[in-house]
Amino acid sequence: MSPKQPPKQPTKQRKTEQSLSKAFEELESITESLEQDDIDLEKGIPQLKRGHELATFLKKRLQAIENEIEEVKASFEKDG
Amino acid sequence: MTDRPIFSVSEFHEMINVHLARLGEIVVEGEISELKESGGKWLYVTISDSASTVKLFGTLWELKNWRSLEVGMKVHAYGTARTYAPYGTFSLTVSRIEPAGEGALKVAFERLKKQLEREGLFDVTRKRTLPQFPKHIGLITAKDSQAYNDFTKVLKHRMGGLYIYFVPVTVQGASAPAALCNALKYLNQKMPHLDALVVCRGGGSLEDLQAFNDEAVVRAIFASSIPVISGVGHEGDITLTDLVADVRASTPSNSAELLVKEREHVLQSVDMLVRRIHRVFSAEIAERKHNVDSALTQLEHKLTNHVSYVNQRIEAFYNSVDHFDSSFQRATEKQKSLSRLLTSLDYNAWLRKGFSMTYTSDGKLIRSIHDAPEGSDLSTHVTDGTIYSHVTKTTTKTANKTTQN
Repeated sequence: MSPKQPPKQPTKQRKTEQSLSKAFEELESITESLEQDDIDLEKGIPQLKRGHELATFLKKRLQAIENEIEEVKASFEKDG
Repeated sequence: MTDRPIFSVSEFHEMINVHLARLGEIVVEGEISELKESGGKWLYVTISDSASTVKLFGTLWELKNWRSLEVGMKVHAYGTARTYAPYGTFSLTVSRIEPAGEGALKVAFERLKKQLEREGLFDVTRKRTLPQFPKHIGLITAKDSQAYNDFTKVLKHRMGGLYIYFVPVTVQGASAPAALCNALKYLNQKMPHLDALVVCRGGGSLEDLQAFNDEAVVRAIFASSIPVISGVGHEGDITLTDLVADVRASTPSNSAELLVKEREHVLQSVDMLVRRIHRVFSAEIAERKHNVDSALTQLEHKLTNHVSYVNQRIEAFYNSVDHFDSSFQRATEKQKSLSRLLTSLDYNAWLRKGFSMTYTSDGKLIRSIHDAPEGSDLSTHVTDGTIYSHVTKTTTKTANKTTQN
């Protein structure tokens, strides 16, 4: 984890990240709504399928191991 | 008379101040014996030691921490010495007055803490929660520091794929507060997309951690639109930075732990959610199965009822058949006995026993002597044939005499 140059595609990465959070939240909300409501099996099955998709995506995303560190080059010592 | 130059009073002050200015900024340590704020702009302070006194003068604008000062506090006054011509007084024009020594720092800390508390900077209600999965993180700490190493080391063992924007700053000494403030402002302005800011440094004395108790720093954290997590000092150290931050970690390592989830934990959470979904479905399927089972049981029950009704009817039918059967048998028996009776009444049987039947020539059965007058021809049926005869004489039974026709 040595300091590196700026990440190549921060904007794209950020999108991915949002979808990671969203995926997790969606999985949580699917679980909660399935647990709370009187479930209709026919309607529930697409949700079950979606839950599996999200879980697969999350697991894949969690494979990422490396972090990137960018050192911000600016002077902060002076009053300003 | 003398050769020495003679100064006017004003020239004297000017000359002295030129000499004093050469000293540059000097630091004087003393205990505050007088403290007076004037017109919302100026601060007049007198500090002294056991034998001497010096007056300090400064602007409230520069002396941002003036509220944390109090009489009796030991301070370091940073300023330039000069005279004040209108009154002929000597003073130190100060740009900073810092509490000095643990005792004074503690008092200053408590005073500032109370002040900021009153202003609502530490309100729990305004604390923001950190995003579940922060990805872009601003890290404000000293370069090559233990805090930096601890933070990045802990992160290594947690979720990957993070982008850390590291802002190296001085975390101790006179320039530290400004550096921290500027770093906070910089990240808020230039990288507003960051998910969280981490402000951390390793442990130290109260004096070492002073920058994190600096009013300007605390206010800069308060003003940050990006959520801030603090990790300053060791386990027990609490700084005002900790109190104002959205999330307080006990150490730099802990700030990494609180900010970034452990990969295994997230994987477990995902698995747990999937299991919970499955549980809902298995429960639902079990319930459906139970419904089907009970419906089947009901159906079976009804069928059994019908079957037993049908069985009853069949039994009743058989009973009536039996009844009919026995009646039929009885009838048969009766018919048989009648048959036997009939048989016993058959004239052939009588013929076989030796009886015979005699007819007149015109076929009339003879029952009386009057039916067979003398001279008539008769035919007598016996069991094996017919005997033809001619009547020569008849007698009556009672007179036992032969009737001659």
